[in-house]
Amino acid sequence: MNEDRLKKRYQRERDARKAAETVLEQKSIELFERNQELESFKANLEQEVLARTKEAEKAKTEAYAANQAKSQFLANMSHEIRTPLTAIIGFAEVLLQHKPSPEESDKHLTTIIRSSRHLTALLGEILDLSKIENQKLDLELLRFNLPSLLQDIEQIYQLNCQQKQLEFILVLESVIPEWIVTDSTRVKQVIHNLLNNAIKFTETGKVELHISFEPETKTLKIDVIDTGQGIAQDKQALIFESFRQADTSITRNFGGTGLGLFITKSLVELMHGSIDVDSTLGVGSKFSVTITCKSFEGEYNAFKHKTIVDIKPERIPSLTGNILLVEDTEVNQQLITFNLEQAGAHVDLAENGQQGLEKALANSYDLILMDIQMPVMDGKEAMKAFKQLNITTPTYALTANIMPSDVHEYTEIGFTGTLGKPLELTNLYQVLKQHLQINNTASKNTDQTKSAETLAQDTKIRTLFYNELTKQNLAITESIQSLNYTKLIQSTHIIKGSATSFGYEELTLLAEESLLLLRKQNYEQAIKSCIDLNQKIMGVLNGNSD
Amino acid sequence: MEIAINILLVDDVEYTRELLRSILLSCLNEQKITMTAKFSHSSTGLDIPKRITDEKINLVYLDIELPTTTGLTVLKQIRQAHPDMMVVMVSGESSPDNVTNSIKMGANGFIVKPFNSDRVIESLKAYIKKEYKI
Repeated sequence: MNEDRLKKRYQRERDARKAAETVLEQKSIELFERNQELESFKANLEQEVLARTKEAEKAKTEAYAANQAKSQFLANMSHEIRTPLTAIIGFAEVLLQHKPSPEESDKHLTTIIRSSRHLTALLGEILDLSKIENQKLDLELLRFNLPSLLQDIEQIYQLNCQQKQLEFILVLESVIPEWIVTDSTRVKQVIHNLLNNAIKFTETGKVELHISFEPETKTLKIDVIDTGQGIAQDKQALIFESFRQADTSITRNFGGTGLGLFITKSLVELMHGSIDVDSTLGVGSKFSVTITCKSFEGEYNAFKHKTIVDIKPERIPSLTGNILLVEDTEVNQQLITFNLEQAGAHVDLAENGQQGLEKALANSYDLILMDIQMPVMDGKEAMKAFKQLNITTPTYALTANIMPSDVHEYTEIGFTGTLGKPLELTNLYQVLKQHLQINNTASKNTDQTKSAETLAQDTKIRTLFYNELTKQNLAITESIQSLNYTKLIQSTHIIKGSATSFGYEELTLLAEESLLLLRKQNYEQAIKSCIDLNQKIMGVLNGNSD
Repeated sequence: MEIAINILLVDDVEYTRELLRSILLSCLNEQKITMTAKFSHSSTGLDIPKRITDEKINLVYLDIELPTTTGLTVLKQIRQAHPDMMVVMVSGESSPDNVTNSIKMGANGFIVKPFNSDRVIESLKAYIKKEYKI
């Protein structure tokens, strides 16, 4: 009985000890594991720190490199800007101070123009770059005529290549659409960038532009192939990066910002396309671009139109007549005026629709050429005003927007027709021949315009004019003494409006000057001018009574 | 075809009215259609809407610079009473304000002094075209 209880107690104690041992072992294992975890964590941590440090260092190096590239870019840029500027200022000074021979002058002017164009292109590239970096570059989808764009390009590059004695070849590899919808400006820019590069790096041989179109995928394929110096294999990936050129010596030898291809690549990607290069050093390069366009219409078959361009030097017609040119851009003013004057026309200039309207009201023209986009009053608004005020002079819209819908709109609001920009001389002369007179039968029209002056010869009206002049001059004399400026404005105004009709140009000019000074409240000068006018009128009246 | 037309000249300067009348007369003769015109004038610009009704005026030449009122004010009055009346503004100044205000108020023409006879003829032709569709 006692022994039995003792046994049970032992058994209980053994069980308890065993349980305790198990717990202990478990705890010990756990502890070991924890320790191990801790160890590995520590190791990980060290590794992580190491990795992070490395990353930071890499970022630092990259930032440094980017910064380096940008500094290099700025240095290049300032060189790029300074070079043409030096040429512009330098040659302009030579022209101004030394008055060189006409041939010399032409040479200098050409350099000035070339340098200015270079600066403009540079500015465009920098703006594009900043737009790309800020992701603000948007596409402007327009329906445009693909063959005519290619025609323009062919004209330009045939000339550019000729200057470097290279051959330029445009090849249409397939039927292309007549119209496509995509960003025409950007497409042009891509082609220009590639062709300019090709010409820049090619000393002998040829530059080819191959165009083809894949209707199923709406893909326009553009290949530019040159026989230039080529790009080494390991540099080919670099050339599409910003601020990079394959070799820094390129900047020294060929100029350029190193932005062209980066911009080109960004543009192409924006147009859901791709750009690739295939080049062999010393043999030449081939840049292949694809662009996906939104839609397309019509077919242009190169085999039907054997050559795209048929350049015939346009014979300049010999005409006579008055033309009003309404155009805000100075370069265009000069260019168009030059071409119009070549044909024998007399050209009046207005800088915006408002001025154009004023001139159209004050004079009679045989033809008006009007830009559409202008400050103050645009061409469309001006045309509407013409319509309302019954100005019936034939008026043509001068514009780069020559989509059929635009042209239709211009006709709707009253334009006689549309001339696309840049101006094709053939089209311009066609319009001139329609509305101006051939030179040898010129006299008829001028007779009619003179009839107002002829009428002014009518003695009855002339007498009335002299009476009025006497009256106004008396008023001027009084007003000068009483300093009555309002009355002076009235009198000078009346004289200004009438004296020319009666052949007293000088009176009109003096009255105009007085009026201007009075309105500006420059009274001291105005009174002096009015006294002059007063004297002049006395002279006229005395001369008349004699 | 015979056209009779009553023209009202509103201008305070007598010789301006006379000059305008002479140009209009001379070009009336040049028209292929026979035209007879009766001219009346106002040198003040007052009561014009009433005179248009009373004198059955077809066409008004209206000077902007008038002694006690302005042509633009008169134009406004005319438009209220006679929305379709053909009114040609006459001014020594084609200043932007004058022209734009005239357009806004519905002028049908704008002739600048010194007169260019082509402009005057154009305004008459515009009237014939509007009224007789020729």
